[in-house]
Amino acid sequence: MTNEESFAKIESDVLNLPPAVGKEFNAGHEKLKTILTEDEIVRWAAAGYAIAQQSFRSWEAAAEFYRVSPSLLQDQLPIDHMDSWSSFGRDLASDSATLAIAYFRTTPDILKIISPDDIPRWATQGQRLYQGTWKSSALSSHFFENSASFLALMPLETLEDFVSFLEVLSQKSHDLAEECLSNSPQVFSEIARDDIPPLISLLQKAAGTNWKYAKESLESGAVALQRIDPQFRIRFLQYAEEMILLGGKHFLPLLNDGSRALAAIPTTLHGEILFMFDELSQVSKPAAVDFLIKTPNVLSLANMDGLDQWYQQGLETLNENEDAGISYFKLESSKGDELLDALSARIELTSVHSILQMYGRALTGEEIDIVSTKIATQSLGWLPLDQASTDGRSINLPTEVSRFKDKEENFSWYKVVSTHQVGHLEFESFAFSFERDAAHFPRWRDDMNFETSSPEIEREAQVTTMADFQKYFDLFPDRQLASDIFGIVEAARIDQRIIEEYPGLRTAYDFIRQDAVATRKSPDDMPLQESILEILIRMTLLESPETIRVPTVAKAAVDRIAAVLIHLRQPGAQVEDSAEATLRIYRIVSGIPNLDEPETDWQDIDIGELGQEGSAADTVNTTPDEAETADEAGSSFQMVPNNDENADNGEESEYESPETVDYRGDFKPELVQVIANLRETSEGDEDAGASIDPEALRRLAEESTEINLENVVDGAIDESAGMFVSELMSDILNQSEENSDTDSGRRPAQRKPEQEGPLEEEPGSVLYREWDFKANDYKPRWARVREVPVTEGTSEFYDRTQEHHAMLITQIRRQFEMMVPELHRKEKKLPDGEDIDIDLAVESIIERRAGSIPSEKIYWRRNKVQRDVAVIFLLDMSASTAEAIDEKARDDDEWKDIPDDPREYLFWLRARREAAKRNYKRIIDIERESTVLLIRALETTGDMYGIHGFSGYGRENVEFYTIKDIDETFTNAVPQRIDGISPLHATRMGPAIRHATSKLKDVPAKTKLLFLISDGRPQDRGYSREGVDKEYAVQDTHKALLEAKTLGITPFCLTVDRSGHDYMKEMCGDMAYEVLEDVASLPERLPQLYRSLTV
Amino acid sequence: MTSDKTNISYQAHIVEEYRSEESPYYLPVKDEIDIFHAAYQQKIPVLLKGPTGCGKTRFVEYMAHNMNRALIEKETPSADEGAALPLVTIACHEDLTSSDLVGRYLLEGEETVWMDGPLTRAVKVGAICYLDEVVEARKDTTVLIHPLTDHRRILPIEKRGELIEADDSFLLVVSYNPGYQSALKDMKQSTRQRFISMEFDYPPVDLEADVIAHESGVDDATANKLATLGEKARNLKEHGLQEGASTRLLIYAGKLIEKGIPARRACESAVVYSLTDDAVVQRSLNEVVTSIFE
Ligand SMILES: Nc1ncnc2c1ncn2[C@@H]1O[C@H](COP(=O)(O)OP(=O)(O)OP(=O)(O)O)[C@@H](O)[C@H]1O
Ligand SMILES: [Mg+2]
Repeated sequence: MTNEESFAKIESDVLNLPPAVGKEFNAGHEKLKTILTEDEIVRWAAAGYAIAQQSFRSWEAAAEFYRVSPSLLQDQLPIDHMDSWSSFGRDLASDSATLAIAYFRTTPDILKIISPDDIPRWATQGQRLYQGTWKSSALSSHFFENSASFLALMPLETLEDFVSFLEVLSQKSHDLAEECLSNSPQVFSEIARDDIPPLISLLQKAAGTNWKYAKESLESGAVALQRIDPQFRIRFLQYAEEMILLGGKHFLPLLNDGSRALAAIPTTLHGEILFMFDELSQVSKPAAVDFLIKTPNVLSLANMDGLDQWYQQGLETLNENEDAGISYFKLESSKGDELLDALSARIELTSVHSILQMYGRALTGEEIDIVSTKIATQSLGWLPLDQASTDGRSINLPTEVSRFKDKEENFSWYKVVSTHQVGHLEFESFAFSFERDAAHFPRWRDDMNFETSSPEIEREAQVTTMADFQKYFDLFPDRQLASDIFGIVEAARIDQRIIEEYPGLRTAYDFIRQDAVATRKSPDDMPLQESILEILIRMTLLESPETIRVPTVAKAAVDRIAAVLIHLRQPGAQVEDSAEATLRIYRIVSGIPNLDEPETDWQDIDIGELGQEGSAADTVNTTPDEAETADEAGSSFQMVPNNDENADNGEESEYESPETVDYRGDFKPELVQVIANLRETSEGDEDAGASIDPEALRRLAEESTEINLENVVDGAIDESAGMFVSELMSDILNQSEENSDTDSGRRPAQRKPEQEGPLEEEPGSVLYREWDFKANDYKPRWARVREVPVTEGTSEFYDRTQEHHAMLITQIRRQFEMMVPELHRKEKKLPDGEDIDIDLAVESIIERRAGSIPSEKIYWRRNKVQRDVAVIFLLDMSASTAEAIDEKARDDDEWKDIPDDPREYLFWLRARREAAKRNYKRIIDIERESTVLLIRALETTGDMYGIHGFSGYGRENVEFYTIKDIDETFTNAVPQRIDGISPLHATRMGPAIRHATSKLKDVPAKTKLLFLISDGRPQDRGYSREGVDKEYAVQDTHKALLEAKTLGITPFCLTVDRSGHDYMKEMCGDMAYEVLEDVASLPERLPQLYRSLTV
Repeated sequence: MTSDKTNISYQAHIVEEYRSEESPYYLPVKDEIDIFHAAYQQKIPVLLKGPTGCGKTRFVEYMAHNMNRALIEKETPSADEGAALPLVTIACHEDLTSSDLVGRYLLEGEETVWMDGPLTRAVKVGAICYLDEVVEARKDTTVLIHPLTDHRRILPIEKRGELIEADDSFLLVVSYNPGYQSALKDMKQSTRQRFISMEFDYPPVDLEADVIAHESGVDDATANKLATLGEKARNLKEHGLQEGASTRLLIYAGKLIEKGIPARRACESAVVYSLTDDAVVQRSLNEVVTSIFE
């Protein structure tokens, strides 16, 4: 048969079908005639007819085929794909005409998304859903109808997964499958593309196990996903998959309430919380779900550390008993409640740090720092963990207080504790002088003759002591006992002085002392001598009407001790009074044996009654000799019942120091004094190492009871002492090193030997004179300033800072924009202007009448007073700016390599949190941030500005960096140069200032400012190192600033060095300066300052 | 200054001028009285420097009252001889013009009358003229005082073509609060160097307590605590506070306490909130308050 004949045959057959088919056929033919070959046309016509032959209603499918195929073949479907396409349709038509129709109808849309090769894969999905029933044919055809929108959202593979889900589900319930299918395009379109596969995987799991939840899985799952940090969505769905095995009881709450809980907490915490969830679910899935749901409640009471504690305790409970664990996490157990109460009342040092620090500074007027004991003990091995203490400069406080159920009480505790430590500074515990007399006690120090029991104590007379306290404690045969007594007595004195000076603290003090006593062991459980010390402590904590349990046998001794304490309680007692009181009490206490079980009864005596008897009061005002005589007369300690040598009460135990009173913390007077002395010598003396006598230190380490060498190295005390000495020395030396020399930054290799005399001119550099205050004259051509290009980096830092400080930037910008209208000042007394000034006009008229010559200038104008400011910012880029500041840095980059294994992850996360606490920002980073903010602000003003950095090494190498030159416009290079700002070498300020001045002096502006931002003293080789040169640097800088000033430039110095007050005054004279308390506030403060200086 | 007969309204300026009847209360802190006496006798203008509310104005009032004309001739001052010196106080501000200081013509009916400004009056009658916050004044205004403050002691009145020679007992006193001054507002050296300078600061605790007790009427114990609070708060200057607590504020606190406000609350309103808006600093200061006051 020819093509023509074949075609004619098919045509007539087709025309015998219902007329709709013929109509589409003819129209199609008309279109295809021009595109296809005759042969192809025949194939086309035949394919359609074959479809019509499949079943009773398959002619409808054929009509659809004829309808869509022409335009498909025209551009979407290559003719060689036509056969497979149509034969698939033919197969479908044999199942159900509806299916085939849907198939053909959808194809044009589908082909916009997938390639013709994939048609079979796609069509198979629809076919899979058809199970021979009419319901399934509806499902299948709905699939075809929706498949274009599916494929727009997901790749074919994913769609295949989705179809297998539908297939499984439809075997359980067609209606449910149908519902899922019809909801899904909407649902999928609302979630992220990446989230679709895991959601589908969840659906598959649901269909396979607990198919009733399929629809919830789809709907709630999609909602849940949006609530979770994208990184953890998949993980969450995996947990949900595991949960579904247990049935809907936990699965649905997880999906709904669990995700809602996550939505309520910051996404940064999602990872951590989900991994806690994971750990818990290994033990109990229901408990894990409850945990998750309750996390927002817990986090509203406590922070992440608190949550961690709550979780840990819950995990323990859970491991013991699942039910108990479940109710714990449901917040239905008293144990959990208690912990939460404590957590919510807990106060962390970080949250009150600045308040307490400022409070301490207000009280003392000194630059004290508050440091958490955690950090303090890291740097100084000899500090006790978790006890308040002071090293004379900073005050160490425990990281948190959760002692009381009430937040305010916890804060009170912090306040009392810090006031006590501050009290040691304010009331001068460490100023003890062996020479100075006490205010209230006659002097016993010089003629104290304790019977020394151990001969080794007798030492050569000429041993050097490093501190007066050392000399003082050397008086006592039993140093430990003396040091314990002194600690108690001095703490009592401090408390007393505090309450005198700060009566407002009384209530808090009473409360905390009561609490302190309540947690202490009772004296009647202790060996005799120790019980006396405990009684001593209690006498300093309690007030009448409170009773103390006193052993009758030592009642007289206690009375005498009390008398001493009462005497000490007079206003204005000094540390020397405590020292004298200690001598007296020591004499009494050292005579009391530390009997294990003293044969004595105990009586409760009111504090007010102790120390009132006449004989006891004598102890205070007698001389040591008289006291000795009095002792012999019988007032000394005696075992009252019998003096029998063989008495049973002979068992003595070794004396142990009393437990510290927690609010008073730890007190190391001897060590602090030694350190203070060492610091003083090392700061005054450049060659500090030499002036410290290691032998003397060693003796201190071995003899002082304040240093527990056993903690340093086990075993040999000798070795430990050595370690301690070297640790201490390096500690002190390092500190003074930091303070006096920053010259240690990286230096170029070929460094020229130091020249003497004036320098030679060299191309590319400028020479400046320096001021020699000793000679009261300039040294000509003394410093060489070289402009060095800054290494350009990327503008990432600039962008990140802008994002980070977006709020601040807007705020600053608004302020700066407001400056501009401020400049539209009304200018008066003009010969011409906007309007007449009434005052002036009247005045002028009156003057005319009065016969004098009136002024013609009676107009005013809102004049745009030309803001005409030029400024140069000079940044200190010395090595010391590499120093860290106390601010937790959160760097999101760290999130990149998260371990996948849950356990590892948790570990990683904890480590990271710890690290974050230690990971500090550096001063230079703050300077850079400030520069960014400043630029943003300056750009709104239109002021001329230059930003420069400086550093260098030695007078022949002062480096001057340009971040933005004053006549340069802001371009992309500027942010890139900011990236290049980094800590370099030393700080020779004078020449840098002179160089900046020379740039600024010729700028034609009405107001010129030179803004110096530094982090410490001016320092450089031959500028500040040798003792008197410190002065040289300051004086030269001062001179350089003055030079600027005489040239009409207003200098302003801003330092972030908190100890800057001592030299800034000298350096700046009556030129303005500011010492910035908190480095972190620089970005905010700098623009503010600039603003206030120029309006 | 405004005349009812005319419809012309003049800018009103804060001008105080009085001769006090009773001696104002002033507690000397150092040798300021002697120095002022000496300067007065030698006709040297005086510049008072010091933080706000530390007693500068009060000092001038006191000095004006207790220094009489007799002083000029005599070596030793005696308190009850002759009348007190009048004191003219002018608060300076940006819009203060030279007419405001020197004087201007006024209309009275059909007549024009010359009206002396406060400075002219002070110069004529031999008063102490106190220019408060002199840096706030416009530079051209400050130039006006130049001939008054050197040996010439004359005030030119341009509009009348007159030169007035200052009365023997006239003295110019200016005050200046060195804080953060705008770079545009610094005092010119040529102005500055016409004065001797006296540095004022807050008195030490015991003296300040006396001042507070006297001015507010609180008992000594409370006054002492307030003075202690002042001392502690000043420790925070430049460590969170721009300025320390002034004696004035402490007196305010005392006055509130006298009216029955609880001490802690009084300090909060009069001291803490007045000093700073920063929540952390407020809290820290409040902790100091609650430590000191029960
Ligand atoms: N030494 C003192 N003797 C008596 N009163 C004093 C003394 N010091 C301060 N005062 C009191 O302090 C208050 C404030 O002082 P005054 O008004 O004089 O301050 P000032 O230095 O002029 O402040 P400002 O710079 O803000 O004008 C006075 O009303 C006065 O009660
Ligand atoms: Mg005043």
